Amino acid sequence: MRQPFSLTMHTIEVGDVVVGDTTGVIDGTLTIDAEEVASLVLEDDRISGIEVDIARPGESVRIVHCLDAVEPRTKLGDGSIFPGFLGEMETVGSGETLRLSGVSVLTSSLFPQPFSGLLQAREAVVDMSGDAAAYSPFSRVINLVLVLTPNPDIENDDYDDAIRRAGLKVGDYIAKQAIGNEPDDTTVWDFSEKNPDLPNVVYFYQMQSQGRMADTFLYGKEIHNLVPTIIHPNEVIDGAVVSGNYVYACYKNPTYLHQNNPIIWELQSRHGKDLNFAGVIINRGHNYTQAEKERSSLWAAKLAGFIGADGAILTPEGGGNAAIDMMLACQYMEQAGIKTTVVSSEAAGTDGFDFPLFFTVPEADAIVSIGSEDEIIPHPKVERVIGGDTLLVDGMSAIGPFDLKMYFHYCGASQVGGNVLMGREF
Amino acid sequence: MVRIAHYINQFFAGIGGEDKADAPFEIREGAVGPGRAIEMELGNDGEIVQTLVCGDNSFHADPDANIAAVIAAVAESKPDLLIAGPAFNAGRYGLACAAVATAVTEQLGIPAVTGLFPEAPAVDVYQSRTVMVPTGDSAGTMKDAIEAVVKVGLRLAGGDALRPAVEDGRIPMGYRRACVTDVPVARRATDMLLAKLGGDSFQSEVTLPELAEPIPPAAAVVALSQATIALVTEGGLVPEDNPDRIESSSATKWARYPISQLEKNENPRFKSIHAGYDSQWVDADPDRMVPLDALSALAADGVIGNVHEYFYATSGTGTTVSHAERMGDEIAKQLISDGVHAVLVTST
Repeated sequence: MRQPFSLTMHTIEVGDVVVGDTTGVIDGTLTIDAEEVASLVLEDDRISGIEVDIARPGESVRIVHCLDAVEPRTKLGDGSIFPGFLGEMETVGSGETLRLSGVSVLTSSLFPQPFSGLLQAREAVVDMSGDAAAYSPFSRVINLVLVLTPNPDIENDDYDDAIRRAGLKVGDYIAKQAIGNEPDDTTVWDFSEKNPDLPNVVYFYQMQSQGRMADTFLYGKEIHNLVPTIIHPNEVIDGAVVSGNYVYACYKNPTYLHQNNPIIWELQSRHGKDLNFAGVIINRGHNYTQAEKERSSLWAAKLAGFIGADGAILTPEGGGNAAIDMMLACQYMEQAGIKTTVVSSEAAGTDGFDFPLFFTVPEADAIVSIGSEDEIIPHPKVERVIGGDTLLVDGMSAIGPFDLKMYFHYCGASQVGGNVLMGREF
Repeated sequence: MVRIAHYINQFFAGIGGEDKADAPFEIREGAVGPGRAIEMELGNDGEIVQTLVCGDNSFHADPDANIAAVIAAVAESKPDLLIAGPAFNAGRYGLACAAVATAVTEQLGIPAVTGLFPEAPAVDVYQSRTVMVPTGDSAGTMKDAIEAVVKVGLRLAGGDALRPAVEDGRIPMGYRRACVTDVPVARRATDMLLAKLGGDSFQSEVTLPELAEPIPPAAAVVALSQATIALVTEGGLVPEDNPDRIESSSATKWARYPISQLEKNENPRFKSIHAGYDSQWVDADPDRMVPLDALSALAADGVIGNVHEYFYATSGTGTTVSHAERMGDEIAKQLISDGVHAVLVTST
């Protein structure tokens, strides 16, 4: 790899977000000029309306119909942060990036046309306080919520693209207004030096991409037909991967979790200390047939061998279908002498008595559990709901109180480790 | 101070051994036998207000009546906790302890705990319903057993919820729950991998099950030209208003619909409510999911006898194993009783 792939990441920690006259950060408070943000979003005539709202951790606030979430980031100097969507096509992962931590730009909307079948945006809920707040990473950050209204005359696919670009554009815009602020932290992401005495660890990063509403984009392009591919960790966190996945609220990795993938950040923090971060292998999950699943998994195991991996951490994105792809990759890596740990959600039924995994292989002897998709979480009545009055679940009133399966929680079963949960035996 | 009711058998009550196993149910005030050791362990934290005694044979001669007697006694004394045994590896005594503890918890809402050897017969029977702490296989381990029973019992009597089995020091009840932890997922995954790479011990957070027993295939259909063939699908094909409210994922329900309705496909029209595949092509032509057209043609040609008058549907995505097994069992029984000879199952 002859690219430099040395990325200087400047972090400005945001402690509060308020609406004000001009957009910018002063003493850790991000002020948003809501009208400016609105006019930026409404440049796209596929969006006919916008309300800008703020939800802070601890508030009696519920956000519904959540779609994508983006951490505000921009490139310093030349370059674009989301190539394929904003600016020119280029390779990201080097140069300097400015990020605002502790805040997300969260889009919320219904779609203009009715859906059927798999490929639809299902309910996705975030509670900012109470019991349910343990089940979303977005309960722990301040959300700048863009509640969008579609132009009623356009198709869902077109609107999906408009939503995605709105979130990315606002994220880039906000971060740009913070240029010049003194960063709270500056970290150089560089894995070019490897310690021969430490094990080489690769991250097998499986993503869902089955069609509109269930897509992940790599440099602006859906990965439907991707064979597993090697990518530098810096590229992933620097905007190469963008989410368009709205089908299963609990599993999906919004763009924010690609930018802040906890596995990648953990491996970065340990590079050179107790391991060498050897690279990331992106795998498209949800392959359709057994042969395609085996093809993809064998390919991933082969790539892990090419880059000299001693060990691999594997994460899926999705339920049973995704589990098969990941478990097969685990099996083929182990058979090739590469040790693995797999991260999995559990589905042991609402009472928790069922066997918790959809699919296993005997080689999967080191499984990290992120909790369950089946548990029913009590939601209190809240003071305020952002995004709508009615859940896309049996017409339930969004204000509460109600009981809701984890399944409908935005990133509630985040398989990249967005929450600090573990399935335990009682 | 926690008020405790204690259940023991004739042996531990000092009535006698096997020859006195028909001793009838009785209530004694205060602590008896191992109850005194329990009180020592409790110190100032609790006391045994009553001891319920029943001979092992007597209990099992009429368990319902004896459980009713226990419930009546405990309902009157209103303790904060019931301790049964510990019963170690005893068969009948262990079953009685577990039955009593279960009934008191389920019928009166009073926490109850018993102590059993993990391989005791009562464990299998009552594990999912009863709080049990593991003990040695004989009364020689009484001291440790009482310590463990009291520790968990006092916590429950104080209104605490159960903690994970390993933290409570309990025999697992067999269910799993998501818990907030101190250590992030990514750190646990990395630590576990490095332990594995270094040849150190590590604990998987989910242990793999024993393989399910394979189900032998049914015998081949002898006379296909005489056979009634049914169509079954997990593809979620239902009348468009989904009258049986079959869930789009994690289904717990199945239903059957007249094949004559599917053939017409109007009033009602059929569509898929399955949440795990792109169903637009099935909605446009349900034969793509439930191949009634092809099967009807085979019937018309005499290759098969006839198409069964109902097709069966559920949605198979995120369904738990136990619901899948139950639904399969229910559908199979219905098919057999309707005289169906073979089934064509289409999946997604």
